[in-house]
Amino acid sequence: MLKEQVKRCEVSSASTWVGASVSQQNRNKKSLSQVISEAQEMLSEAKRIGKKLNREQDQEGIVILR
Amino acid sequence: MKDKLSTLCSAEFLLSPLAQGLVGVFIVMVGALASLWSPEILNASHFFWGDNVVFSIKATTFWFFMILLAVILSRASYLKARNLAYTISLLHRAPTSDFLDRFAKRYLITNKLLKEVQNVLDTISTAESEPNSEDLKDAVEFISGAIRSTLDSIVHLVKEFDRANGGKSIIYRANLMQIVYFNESSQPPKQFLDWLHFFSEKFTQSPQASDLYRDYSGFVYLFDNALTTTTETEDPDKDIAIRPIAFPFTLSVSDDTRTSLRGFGNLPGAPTVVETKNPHVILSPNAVFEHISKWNITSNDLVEGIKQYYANHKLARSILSVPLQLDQRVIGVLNVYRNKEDILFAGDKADDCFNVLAPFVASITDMLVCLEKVLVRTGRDFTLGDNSHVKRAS
Repeated sequence: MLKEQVKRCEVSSASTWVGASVSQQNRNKKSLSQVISEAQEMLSEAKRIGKKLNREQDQEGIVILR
Repeated sequence: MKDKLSTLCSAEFLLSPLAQGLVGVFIVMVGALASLWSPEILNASHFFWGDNVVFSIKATTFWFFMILLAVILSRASYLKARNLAYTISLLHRAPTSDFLDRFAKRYLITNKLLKEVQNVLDTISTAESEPNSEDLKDAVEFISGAIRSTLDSIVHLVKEFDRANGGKSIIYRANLMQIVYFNESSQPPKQFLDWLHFFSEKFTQSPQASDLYRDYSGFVYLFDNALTTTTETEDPDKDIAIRPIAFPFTLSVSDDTRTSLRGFGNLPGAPTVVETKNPHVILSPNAVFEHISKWNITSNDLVEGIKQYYANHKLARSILSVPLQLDQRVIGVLNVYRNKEDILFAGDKADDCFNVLAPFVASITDMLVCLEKVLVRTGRDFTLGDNSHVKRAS
């Protein structure tokens, strides 16, 4: 019973990794300009989140006991 | 005896509930004595207004206990005040409650950016035909942007770590300096040495540009503001206040065996980081002056030049420098600096900060390596830690 569960778990885990690998391969088939374009979108998103975090940081409460 | 006295005077004992209870009893006891022996105490007190002194054992005992009580209470108050000051200082120095939350978010962003950078490089490397120059240019722009975004995370983490140390108006900046090692390559071309000589004029003793190769192990330099940012701008933009600069460094004999080296000391900050491969903090321009005063040099011009540079450098009053290492080799230096002295509580929090920055430093090193590989594809002989940035300098 336990062996069966372990085996199922191994299969499930392996299929996840295979899935990720296939997805990565599909992605690599894109042209360079497409990949860069997606990467630039990601960078814009990163900048937006970074800006939000910076604002949050600057606005966070006045330092207590100062 | 001395040990027993110091135990009784220690914070652990004096501020303990037992000791505080005994002090309370002592106060009541002294009050009771004052009440019971008031005539004797009054008679003995005539001394204060010049009458005949009447010695009284009871009054003397009372005043002895009174003084002892005052000493005990003073000591207890002093210890309480000291403990409170220490607690407040810890609170000041501690990062804010949301620090870890922001740290995690910033790291997740950096990690995603690194994956995108690596994906772009993989796509370039596995492309069936040679990528066109426009795409390569876009790739370089993207990777530089990702590095600046990570620099922005780093500079804000340092700022948050340092938030109770000076106030919100302080401006933090960050840059990534490149390195050229002279000992491992042939003599760099003239135009690159000219560039280094021009921008390191205040920091070298070599009269001619061509002497630099002979006199030093290499240079750590900032070519432009492509990999810089500041908290002055909301976005991770290039820092427009940055000017090109180059510092010479001399490696230890085991790392550079050439006998021609002049063996001057290395300036604190980036040059020291390249030599020691460890992070370094400059707390103030005075720390630099003290450092160079130990150098065995006869040229006053050099000392004065360095002093003048640091005294006038209003943007960088204290600096944190961290090595970027790849396979035990320093390939660049990350500098985070501010326009006020004593960054990171005069260095007290530096070690904690280095640990916090470590994953970001590792990511930014990987991004730099990817950038280098893409730049090589563009036809620019750009190699980190090599002397081939010449085309960029020319």
